[in-house]
Amino acid sequence: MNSHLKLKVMDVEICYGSYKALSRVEFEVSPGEFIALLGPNGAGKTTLLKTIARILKPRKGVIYLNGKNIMEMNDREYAKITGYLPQINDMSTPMRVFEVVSMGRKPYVTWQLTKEDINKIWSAMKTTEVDYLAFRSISEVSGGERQRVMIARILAQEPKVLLLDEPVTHLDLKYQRDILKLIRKVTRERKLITITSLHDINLAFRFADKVILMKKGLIYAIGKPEEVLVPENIREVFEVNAILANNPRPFIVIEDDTEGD
Amino acid sequence: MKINATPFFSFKRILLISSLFLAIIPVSFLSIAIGAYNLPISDVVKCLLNPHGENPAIIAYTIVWFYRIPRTIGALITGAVLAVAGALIQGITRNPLASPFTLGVSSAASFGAGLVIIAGVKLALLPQVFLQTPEGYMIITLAAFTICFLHTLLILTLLFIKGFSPESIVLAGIAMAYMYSAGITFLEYFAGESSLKEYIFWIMGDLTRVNWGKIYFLLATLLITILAVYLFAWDLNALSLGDDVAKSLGVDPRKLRFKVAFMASLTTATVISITGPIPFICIMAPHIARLIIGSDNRYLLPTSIAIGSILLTISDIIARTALKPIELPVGAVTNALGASFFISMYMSIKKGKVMSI
Repeated sequence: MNSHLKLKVMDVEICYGSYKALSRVEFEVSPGEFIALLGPNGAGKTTLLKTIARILKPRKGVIYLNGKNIMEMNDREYAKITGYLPQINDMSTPMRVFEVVSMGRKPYVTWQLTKEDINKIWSAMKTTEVDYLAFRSISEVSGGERQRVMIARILAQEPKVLLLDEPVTHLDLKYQRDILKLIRKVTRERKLITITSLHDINLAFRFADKVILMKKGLIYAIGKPEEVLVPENIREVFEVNAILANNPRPFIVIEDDTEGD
Repeated sequence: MKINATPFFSFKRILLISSLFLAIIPVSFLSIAIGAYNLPISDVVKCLLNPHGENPAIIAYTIVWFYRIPRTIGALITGAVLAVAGALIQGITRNPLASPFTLGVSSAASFGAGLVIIAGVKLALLPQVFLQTPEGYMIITLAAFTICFLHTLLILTLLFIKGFSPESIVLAGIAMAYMYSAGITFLEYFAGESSLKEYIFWIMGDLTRVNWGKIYFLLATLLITILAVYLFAWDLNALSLGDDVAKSLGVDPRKLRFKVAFMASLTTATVISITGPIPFICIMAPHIARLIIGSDNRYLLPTSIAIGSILLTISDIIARTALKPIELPVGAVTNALGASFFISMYMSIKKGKVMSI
């Protein structure tokens, strides 16, 4: 049944007061697809992810998952299907790594973790290679490790949809690559639907199956990276001039702003 | 290898929690054996072994069964309830220094008691000694509880209007506390000397007010507290990862804050209506528990129960023996303990971390 899982966003509109943060957002994602959300600050990437995560309620439009309206599912049921990683993680108390990851089992347990739960927690930690940190306090681990812990938490949740808000923004180059590689691998192997907002155009170019380019709450373009991330679109959305280099891989180079000189 | 470490990890914690609960037994015994009146240990043991008493007339029997045992049970339960209520409020506000007292519960109780002690007696033209009678005391308790209950409803309504953010919970509580404090100032200005004294006594929480009849109320509160631990531990863990993550894990932060604030305020209201406000247990006990067991609420809340019980019972032992034969109200002791606790906490802050494991 899950192999037919499909996410369908239809004509979604979100408002903060009178400000329209999202409007006329429409797209479809199939399982196994890694989608990158790109756009300047304030384009509505976080808002879109939060809407799919049911943290925000659309004023207009419907989101269907597997043919069901997500707003009509119950909280626990939806938590088993969807994992959400916020951009800023504001933990109030420093728990141990194992405890943080075990929170992924929250939708499944009432009080005691079963043996099966514990195995899933460990395998999630192994997947993101944080098992050696299990009994360390989350406040003692590095930024890269911390983000891998958070991703392990989501994997332990066993969702079908991964919603990741800037998962690699503050990480160094190696972790940026490793984490995105990992997410792409998991997405393909487990036939997940993954939507990730990214800041780096080139990371999107390299890892995403599809790119959604957003501007001012609207979808500006959607499609394969090489179709969407062309200099004209980048100029229009990010307001910078870019050149597409191609050695050894397609690569976007942002040109210097020479106007002010 | 690592997988095997998990059961050990929880085993160690369960062992730790069990030993804390076991520690309650010697502490309780100490609390029964020690007091203003010197009883030989052998007499105490004899009394404990004969609950029906071969000779109930002897003074040891009366002291043990009618003063010290209810008082000890009162200390144990009150400590447990206050500690868990503190941990719960800290969980929903994500603030290690918050407590039901931050929500204004104790100010509400004091105001309720003040209404009866200062204004009520005067208006009803009753003699001041009426307050010393069991009926008089019952009326004070009821008034304190009623105001607390109304206060809880009011604060929840305020939060309902303004949204249940941690900041709004704390602000609403503080604002309400100022209102009660204004009311109390007003009452105090018009109070006579004797009723003022009576009122001052009441607001220093004291466990001598617990007798067998009130223990049923305390027991009911304890049951609600234990239920709260079971119901909210996982949800509060989810909340500690942030509101958005909690939501994505199937926990509605608004509903959770509402339910927890209601339950914690009500249990606190019940115990402090009986004993009078006992400060700092709500903050100290969860903090000590966090140092011992970590922040996972499934362990933190039960540990808080044990620590709260032990802490308040020991405070009460100190209150009874420090200035023998004068018995201090336990609130005076927890106040002093709380102040020194905060100073030591402040001195031990490393790199700005207050809540560490």
